[in-house]
Amino acid sequence: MFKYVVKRFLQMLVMLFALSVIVFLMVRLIPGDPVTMMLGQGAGKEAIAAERARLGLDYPLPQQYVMWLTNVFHGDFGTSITTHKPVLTEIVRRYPLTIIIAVGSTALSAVVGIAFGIISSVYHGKLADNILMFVSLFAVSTPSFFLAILLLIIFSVTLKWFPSGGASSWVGLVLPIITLGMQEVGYITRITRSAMLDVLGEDYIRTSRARGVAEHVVICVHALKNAIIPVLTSIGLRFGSLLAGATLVETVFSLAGIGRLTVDAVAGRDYPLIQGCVLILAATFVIVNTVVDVLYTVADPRIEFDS
Amino acid sequence: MKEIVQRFCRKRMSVVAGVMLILIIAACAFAPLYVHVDPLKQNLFNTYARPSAEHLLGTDNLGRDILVRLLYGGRSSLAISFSGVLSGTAVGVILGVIAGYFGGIADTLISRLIDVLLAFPGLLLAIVVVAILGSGESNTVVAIAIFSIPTVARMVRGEVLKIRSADYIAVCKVMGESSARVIVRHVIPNAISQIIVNVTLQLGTAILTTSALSFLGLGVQPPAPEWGAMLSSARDVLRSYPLPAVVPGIAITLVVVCFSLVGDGLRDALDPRLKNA
Repeated sequence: MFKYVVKRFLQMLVMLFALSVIVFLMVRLIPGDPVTMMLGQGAGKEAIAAERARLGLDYPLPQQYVMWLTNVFHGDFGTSITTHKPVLTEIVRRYPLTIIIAVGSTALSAVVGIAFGIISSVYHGKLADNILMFVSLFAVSTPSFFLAILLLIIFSVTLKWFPSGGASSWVGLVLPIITLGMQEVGYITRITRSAMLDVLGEDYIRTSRARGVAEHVVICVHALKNAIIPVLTSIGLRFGSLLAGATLVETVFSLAGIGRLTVDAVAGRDYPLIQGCVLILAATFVIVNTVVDVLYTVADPRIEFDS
Repeated sequence: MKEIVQRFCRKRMSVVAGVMLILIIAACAFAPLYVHVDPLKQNLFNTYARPSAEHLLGTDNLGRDILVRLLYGGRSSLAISFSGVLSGTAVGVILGVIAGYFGGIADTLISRLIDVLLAFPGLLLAIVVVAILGSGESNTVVAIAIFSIPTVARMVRGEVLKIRSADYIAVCKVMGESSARVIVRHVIPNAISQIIVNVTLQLGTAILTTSALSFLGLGVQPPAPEWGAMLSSARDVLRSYPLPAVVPGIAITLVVVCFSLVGDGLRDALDPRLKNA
């Protein structure tokens, strides 16, 4: 197993390397001269020459990459073109809020989704199951920005329970977390349901029932224990997409998270900032997925390691 | 074929969704033939009009007819999603077949490429594409295409690997059929039902991604009507008049739900073995 864990982490390093190459090449892939694009058409010749020299554009590509990566390892992602502050400072300032939203909605969706999934599997084919499947279908199909606007209209504009934007206190985070969590509830309900249905059909469950174990113990202890591992794994694997998905929610609720930062950077053609945000978000995704994957194999001894 | 249709029709929800989808797509696609109002035409003397006989869903902040914009917006969202998913699927199928059928270095390279594409979580991949190419309708299509490549390629590769080891493929090779012929005559037809199901399900995701990009201001640019862009521009007046935001939101949700139900129905109809998988 140790060998597997090491192999998985080596794979992760390769992935991170590939990511860094792509993020590096992003700016070079822009049609036209990247420096003119970055500084705008009106930029003076000297400014362009200075920026070229700073980016090392006159060196061969591999050398440019090494220079860029060395800087990144030193925490130097360059300077934002629009705010003139170091990219890393911007990211450090805005990332925590996005992480809070993502963690909050993961927790919310795990509790609600697993509960829904269990209920759905217990009442398989009955009314409760059909209703919950219908709810989860709409939960995954409603665009989060639309749900956010609906919640705003109901709870903020009409009922005035929550502020319509900003995160001056935790109250401002309630609606964003619910919005982002709803979509997850849909996925987790389905995953829990099918995992529970698989387990509930097994012989040992029938044995437990025959032995006269109370039904709620059979379901919540015997069955759930085996069904929960793949469910928790899926929840972990979806965490990274939540970080990116938070972009839409941050936009509607005017929250200064990294998602909004990325979109503003793209809109403002602020390439150093885009590179920094994309690299950080994708790297988080890859690292979280590796850790979840490794935990999964540790948690379930039945999994084979050679695949 | 008859059997497939019969199996599909047994799922009532999927049939209802399919009929609704066809109606919505037809209504949007043929809008220019029967709607004689310009979706961009403003009337600043008639802004925020409530629904009436003249404007069935009322007018927006610039006095434009919301229903007309909804139909034209659907045209745009659906056209982008269809062209994006279909071109992405074409590339994905080719990559998947090459990787699965030939194996070796080609497989390693393509599989790593898929891994890298999947390393960008959700919407971020589409945002990266737009960051490189810029916003606009055609670049959104490219973003959707690249977004759908990895899933298709991985699925087709898996299918091809399964089919490749089947005895009848070995027989074809022994009989001297060329690789191209084996792929076109035997491998692809075997994977086609999975590909169709995948396209249907991906169309739903594509609608969500297209409208999300436009909502963020990175996709279709105003004043062109697009569901996500319509929602975005209606945000400013949400407090006083939520209708212009709610209408395109419901349209997106409805279409995505329908694609999902039709996809599920198709999966069960085309491949009964996959039931509940």
